[in-house]
Amino acid sequence: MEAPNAFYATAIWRRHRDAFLRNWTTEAGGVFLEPLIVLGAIGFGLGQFVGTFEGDVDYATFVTPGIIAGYAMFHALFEGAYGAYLRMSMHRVFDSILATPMQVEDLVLGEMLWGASRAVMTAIAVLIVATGFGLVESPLALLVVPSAFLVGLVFYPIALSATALAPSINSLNNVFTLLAVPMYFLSGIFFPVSGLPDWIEPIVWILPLTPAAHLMRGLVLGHLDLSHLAATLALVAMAIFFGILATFLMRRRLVT
Amino acid sequence: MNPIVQVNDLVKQYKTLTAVNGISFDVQHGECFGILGPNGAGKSSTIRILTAISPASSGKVVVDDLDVGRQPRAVKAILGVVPQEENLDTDLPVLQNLLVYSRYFRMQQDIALANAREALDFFQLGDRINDKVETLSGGMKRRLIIARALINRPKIIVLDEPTTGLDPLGRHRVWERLLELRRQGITTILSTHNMEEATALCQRIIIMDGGKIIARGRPTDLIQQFAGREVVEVRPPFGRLDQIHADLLNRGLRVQVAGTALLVYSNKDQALEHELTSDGMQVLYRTANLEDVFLRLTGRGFSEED
Repeated sequence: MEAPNAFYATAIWRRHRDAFLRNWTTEAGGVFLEPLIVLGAIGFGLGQFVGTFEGDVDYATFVTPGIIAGYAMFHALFEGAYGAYLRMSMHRVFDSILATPMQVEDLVLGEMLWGASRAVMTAIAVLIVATGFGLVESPLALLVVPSAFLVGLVFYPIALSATALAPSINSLNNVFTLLAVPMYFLSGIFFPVSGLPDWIEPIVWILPLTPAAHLMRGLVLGHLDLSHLAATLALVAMAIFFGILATFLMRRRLVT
Repeated sequence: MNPIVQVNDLVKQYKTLTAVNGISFDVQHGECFGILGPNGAGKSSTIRILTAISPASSGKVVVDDLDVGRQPRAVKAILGVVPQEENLDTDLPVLQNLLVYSRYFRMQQDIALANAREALDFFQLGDRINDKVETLSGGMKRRLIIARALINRPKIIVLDEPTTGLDPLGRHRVWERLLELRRQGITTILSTHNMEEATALCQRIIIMDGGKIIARGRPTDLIQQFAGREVVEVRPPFGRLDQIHADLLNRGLRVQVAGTALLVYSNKDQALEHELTSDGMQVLYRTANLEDVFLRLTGRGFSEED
């Protein structure tokens, strides 16, 4: 493996942007409707029964930042699983790209930048809906945008690694049933991690969604401390680790 | 001037299969060079290695004085690659396919646009620039892929089975354009299992079988050398093939069994024709071609034809 070239990687990102801009209207409705439903149902519906906790925060306010992190995760995973699989296997876009000066390293970095951009798009949509509901407490919430980018950089290569290993598109369902959904419910989004049994707690902190949700909550509620810096550094380390893993696996899959 | 492509003792080993087994050849500047062989001969593996897409197991490939194994990016920058599989970007319309592709070469976009329009006109796609790729016919898609391969003004265009799956008209349109590129002096390397294609386009060919080169030279020379100019196809009555085969061999003729027919490589031997016809056999005269060369060399026909 070699280091990716950021200039080449940008060409991949621009390809995905162009393709997205041609087709975005088909998915635009869902981008806003879904957070509207989720925040409405969980925040206000479920919230009525939960009351306030963690220092007088009502449930809708507590849950919103985690949902932003969760959405960033899901959208990066969808793009890295089904989106990338179709590009790789069905439309052979990766093959056509690798016949140009582009190397696998550039391809994976470009893909990651795009996956992170998808995470940002959805985070902004949820943030707008949440602001409309009055659930955003601090101007620091603007930092949700770069944080969602980082969250995308962590999760996209996880899905891309699964894509590189996947014998068929159906096997990618495991990314969601075995990984994403359990993480979504365990990573301190719907209830504090401290509410879990003691022996599970350290495991949960290793899951990438836990630091992601923790960071988002600090930003949206406007309470930052060193733990949020630690969460950020953990996410950076994970992005690098999974990026290298995805590159290795993609090279094995594509260069035979 | 060095040959623009130098392949030396190239081997490609997969887990259980040796796809390319120690081949060497050179391609000269401006030449149209063909790699001919049946499916599974090792053509695509060879093409993938010399276009820096796939690594060689051993051996050396030099393209325009660049080592393909060490400088893949620089090699790919001067190549135009036409893959066997259709891999146009279906998310993008025709012109944008070329422009997005040009960015992978980090080309200036005004130059890319001019090249793209020229290439699309050259391939008679100038009136389809905003159409979706799915709406194009098979022949148009093929021409678009070749146009895409020209976007970076390559020194060498490398085509893997460029007309497989096309109808005769579509195939001839592609050939006519490739001959025009050859006239313009672009070095062309193509793999094919279509004899007619190799004869029509290539100045020199290698014939591959089982990962090895079994013959090399100009198509007409190879045909002359191995098959002569004319072939007599004889279809003996049922049950007499072996006996007639032996008779013909005893007379010192070059004979090849091909299914239920015997191919006799004799240059316009009228006495022979008369004799065979009067013996109640179906006899057909035709011009010798590269398939006869392959048959002579391996005793087998090409398993797949089109």
